[in-house]
Amino acid sequence: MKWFEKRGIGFYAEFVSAVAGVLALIVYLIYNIAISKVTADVLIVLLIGIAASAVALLYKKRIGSIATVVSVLGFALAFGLYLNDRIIMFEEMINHITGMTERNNILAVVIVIFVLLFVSMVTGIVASFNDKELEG
Amino acid sequence: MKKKNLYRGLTSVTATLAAIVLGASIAAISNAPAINVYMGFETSKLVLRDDLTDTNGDGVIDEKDVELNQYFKSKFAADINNITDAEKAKKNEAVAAFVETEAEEGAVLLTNHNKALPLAKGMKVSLFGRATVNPYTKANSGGGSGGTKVTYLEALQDASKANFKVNQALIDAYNADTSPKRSATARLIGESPKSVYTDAVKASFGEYSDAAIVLLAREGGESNDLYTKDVEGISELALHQDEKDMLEIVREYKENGTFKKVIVLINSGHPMEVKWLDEYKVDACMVIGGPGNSTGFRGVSDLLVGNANPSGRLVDTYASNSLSAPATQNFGEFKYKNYLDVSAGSTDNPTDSIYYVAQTEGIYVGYKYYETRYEDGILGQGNANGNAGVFDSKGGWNYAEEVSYPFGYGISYTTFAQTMDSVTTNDDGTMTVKGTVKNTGDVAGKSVVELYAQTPYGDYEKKNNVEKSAVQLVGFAKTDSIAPGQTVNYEITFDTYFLASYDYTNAKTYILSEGDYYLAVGDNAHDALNNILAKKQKSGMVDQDGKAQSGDAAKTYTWKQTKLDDQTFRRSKTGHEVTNRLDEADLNFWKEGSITYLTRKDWQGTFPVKATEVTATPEMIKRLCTNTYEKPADAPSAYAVVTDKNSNIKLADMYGVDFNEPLWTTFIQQMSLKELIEVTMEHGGIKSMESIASPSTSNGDGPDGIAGNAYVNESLAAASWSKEMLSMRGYYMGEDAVMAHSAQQVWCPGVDTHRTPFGGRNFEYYSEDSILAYELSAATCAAMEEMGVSAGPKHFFANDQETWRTGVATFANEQEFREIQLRAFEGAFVKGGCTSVMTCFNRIGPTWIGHSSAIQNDLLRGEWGFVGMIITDAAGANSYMHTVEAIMNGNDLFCYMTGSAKENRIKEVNKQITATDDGNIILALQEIAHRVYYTYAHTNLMNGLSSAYDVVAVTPAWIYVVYAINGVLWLGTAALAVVALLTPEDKKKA
Amino acid sequence: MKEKQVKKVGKSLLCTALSVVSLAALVATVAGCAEPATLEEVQLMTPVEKTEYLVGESFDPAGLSLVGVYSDGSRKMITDYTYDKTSPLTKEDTLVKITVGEYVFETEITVVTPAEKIIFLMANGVDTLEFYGDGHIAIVGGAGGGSNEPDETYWSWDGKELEIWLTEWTVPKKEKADYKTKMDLKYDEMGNLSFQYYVRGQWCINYAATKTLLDSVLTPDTRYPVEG
Repeated sequence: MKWFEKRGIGFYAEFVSAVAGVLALIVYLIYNIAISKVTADVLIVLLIGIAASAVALLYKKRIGSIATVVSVLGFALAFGLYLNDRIIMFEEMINHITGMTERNNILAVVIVIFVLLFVSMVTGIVASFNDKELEG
Repeated sequence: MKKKNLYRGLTSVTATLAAIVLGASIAAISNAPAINVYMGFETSKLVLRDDLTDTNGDGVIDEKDVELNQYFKSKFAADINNITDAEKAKKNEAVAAFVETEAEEGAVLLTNHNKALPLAKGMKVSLFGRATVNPYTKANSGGGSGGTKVTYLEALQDASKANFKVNQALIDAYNADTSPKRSATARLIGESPKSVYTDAVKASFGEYSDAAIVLLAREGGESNDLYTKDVEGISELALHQDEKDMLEIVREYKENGTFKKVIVLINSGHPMEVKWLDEYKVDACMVIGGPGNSTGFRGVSDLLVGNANPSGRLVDTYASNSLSAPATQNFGEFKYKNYLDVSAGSTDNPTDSIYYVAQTEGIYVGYKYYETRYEDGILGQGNANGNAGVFDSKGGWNYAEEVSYPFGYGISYTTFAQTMDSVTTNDDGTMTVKGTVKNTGDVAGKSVVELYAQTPYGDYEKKNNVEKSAVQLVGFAKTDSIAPGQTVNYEITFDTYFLASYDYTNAKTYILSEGDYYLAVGDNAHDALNNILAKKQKSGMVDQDGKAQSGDAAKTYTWKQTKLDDQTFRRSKTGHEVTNRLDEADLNFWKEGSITYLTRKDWQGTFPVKATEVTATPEMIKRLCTNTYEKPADAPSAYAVVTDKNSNIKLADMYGVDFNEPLWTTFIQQMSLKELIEVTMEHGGIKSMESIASPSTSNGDGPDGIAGNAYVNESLAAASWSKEMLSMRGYYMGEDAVMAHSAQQVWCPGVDTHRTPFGGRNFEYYSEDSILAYELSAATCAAMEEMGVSAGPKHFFANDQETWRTGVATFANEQEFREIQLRAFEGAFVKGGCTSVMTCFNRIGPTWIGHSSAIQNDLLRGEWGFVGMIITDAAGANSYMHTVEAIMNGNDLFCYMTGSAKENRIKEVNKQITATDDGNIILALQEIAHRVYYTYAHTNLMNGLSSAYDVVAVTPAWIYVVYAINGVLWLGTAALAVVALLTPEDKKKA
Repeated sequence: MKEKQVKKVGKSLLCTALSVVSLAALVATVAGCAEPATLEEVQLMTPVEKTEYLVGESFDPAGLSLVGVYSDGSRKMITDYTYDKTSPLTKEDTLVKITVGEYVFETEITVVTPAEKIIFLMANGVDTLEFYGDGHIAIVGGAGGGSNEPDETYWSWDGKELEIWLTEWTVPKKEKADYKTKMDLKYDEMGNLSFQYYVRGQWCINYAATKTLLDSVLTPDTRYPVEG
């Protein structure tokens, strides 16, 4: 695990960000394929976020730096677009009429996805503010 | 912190913000319409047209300079605002010809031995029956008059049609007869006594002997049900002594060789008993219904001589005994056992509160009863062959003895063979059945393909009281004329919603039962059921004459549903929840176990052999006249509600403005409270309103004609089973309206149910079956709406008898209401797009429908997505119709308001507004005006009402703000990113 | 140096923006509160309840409500109004003027003698029967009007028994006078009245009146028709 040791906060934060992003992807795919509702826009930006965080972890210098910001952007867009996607569901919850335009929504799963995306966003921001390499 | 890291971090932060805001913005903008409505942001405004000049030279550019518009046009008029007499005449000619075809396509041929019909042109005939000189055209009710009236005699002697030479001696004898004439009010059938057949008259038979045509008539009418026991002590629909005497004479002269043929024509909007046809040696019998007050009899003339080939099918079961329907025991006048307590507990007129009808038959109305009991007899279940409900069977209940002709029955001058070739399930929730029809006879003719379904009746249904009819109509199609030997294809698509049953005890919504489903085509309901029984490999089937039948499994299709489904139809097409709303209309709700509904679990034990007695509970008595509306705590003060605020918007300017546009609020706020209340007081229309420059509106009445022309009885039109014919009927009625610039709202079609054969207004309702009504009313309403008429089906709902219709409490379980009475109306709304409705006089349960928010708002506007105006039946001063209660529970207009009754209702509203300072009432009145004028703005009222303004879309400011915020955030992100990139890495400290 | 300048510029821009916004908000609020609202219009919301009076009664403004609309869009109730008919009313009084400052609202009233007054109504959905003090009955409504001909409808009350005579069309009669038929009045156990009548000989209508209503106008002391 030499690659993993002696890294800056930024690295570890980026790592957590990547893992959270991958987990979000897995949960999202399993859930949405099961209810046959995969939305392309969320999927694409999420994949961009994951790819960018991988680049950020593996590459140093400028590319890695840019990739960090891009990964945050990707996860944040995934969060925002998924929010847009789920608006109907929240409307229904507020009005206490479920199952109107969509069926089989499981609130718990949706919350898990949002939490994972939020974690990947926030840790990505932390990564942006910090070095990936240790000082000195 | 290193600068580079700082800027990189800030870039990420702003990027995150921008991304989340972007997601939220997309959501907001895609839901913009809803947000605009909620916040009241205007999305359209009126802009003075820039192409106008002062064409009329009055120094002002306004709507007088605009060319009169023709929003709704007529195919007969070049300029709808300047109609010539010649154009009107041409339209009336077209209507007259159409009415003829209505009569031709709706007549039902019941028997035709030895091809007795068609007769030859020019034959010399003796016309029997007093109705010959006094035929039944249409019973008393609103509408259905106008146009050229052609009598029965004129039509039969018409040289271009039957050209019969008629026995004048017989006609003179009837004219000279002074015995009481047919009277719907006195319930007299008015047949001539046998004394009119003097020797002199009988001597005339020899010369006019090609055929004896017997015309038998029955007539009901508004406020006049037929009697189950009339002056002669028998059912008004049974054969009466004078008629028997007449038929005996006819038979005598047939048997002695004088009359070559005996033809019977049933001239009635109600099913007469016809079990005596063989007894009197009748060769052919045709039901000609009520041909209406214009040219319908010409169609009868054409049918008699083969110019037209009968193609109609029965819309009701012709039971052997007219009294045998289970609903008949609970039809008519019933007072609560404790009616004195009810009167004492009521502040309304007692006569409006003490009567009830207990619909214990459940879904077993019409053929659903006879056919289901028949199936249970074949299957040996449910004690179907017991003697409860036996009327004409010699032993236990026997289908062939209880039914003369089944629902959907009708033969022709030719014969047909039908097939069912394929059934497909489509993606949109419908199924399509395809097949062929071959003309296997010698003359051209049209055929009707009838598609029936059987859904499973299993343990779940038995346990939860979900009743099932052995067959139910789900779709139908009428072919064009098919030449002899030719084969045509047919295609029927129906909504699988029709396969669902309403479970009111457990799931409290529609369910698709688990088990085996069947589809079958058949010549009538009974034939289709026999085909299904053949598919189920049962035996012992018979037809209505008792002849053994093997059924035809090839005309059926079956599939299995593996699991009960209570989700698919839990939401209506509008997304609204579908659940119990009529619990209080079930007597068992007020007192458990007080009613046993007819169930196929036990026909013998549950058939209603006598009328249900009901004792009103104290809660019921309270509900009969209590007002539920209470001013809510957050209601604004009446003084604070904006009225009388002029914005210079005229009704003409509002054409094409969407219902949810906030512009309507500004428009309606121009009206004063006095005008708002006046809007609700209808009398042939609504007065002109100065503040919104609305002209007076004009309403029209009648399922059989709305604006100056008379059509055949709606039940006769329905017997054509042709959506095309019913659509044309709506189109021509629309022509009548648009060319008269009247009838902008009409109380048409009639959509109540033939719950029993005795309902006085059955002649102007479609059928005992709800799907036939669903489809046909949809066809008529859609055609009318397109011509600029706001179609208002009536009387919504369960107004199936005339007796004590004002205020009678109609009790039933929700399965019957939903699958029978409501389903009949549903098509007019969800498929036909009608924009008005006339409610009923009766109560649903103890609550008059005008007071029911559950029905008017949740069901009609919610589940069925109705956008339009609700008008009561004639309100006048009916004490049980409480003005404010109705206004606050979803009713819009009160019908027939004039004189002191109107003044009193207006006073009632004003008083309640000021007494409790209730601005909520004013807001409700404004919403009513919104619905009323929105609806009228889509009718021919707008023809000629031109506007100097265009309606221009406006983007509300907030959308620009959203774009701006997004722009700022993304620009900020980009700027920070650039700065981060340009910032050099900090040199490491040495 | 460049970064510092960028930062300074950024800060100053932000401060300027914020100050402009706050100033604008302040001005708007002040402007809004500055002027007191003035009365722009007086509207009649609900009219007076009683519009028919017997000779000698006094005008009663109950039910009247007036709304004042102000320049700031607010709406308030107005209670200080005056009206011009304060003395006992005569048949000539047909108009009452209600005044608020310079706004005048005209209310039409009718002043009738007991003979011209509607004593009570019997109603159903389609028609209303109006029973006048002079003994005649008017049928008003959807199927009415025209069913009065020949005009042989009247009613009477002698302190004990009510009689109602309407035009019966269902059975053909010879003389015009024969059309007038006495209605078969049915009283239930509680004293509520109902009877059946075929309007225009076709519509079977059930007219009804509660005992409470009848007792309030048909007392042992009153007699109808009245003179005057």
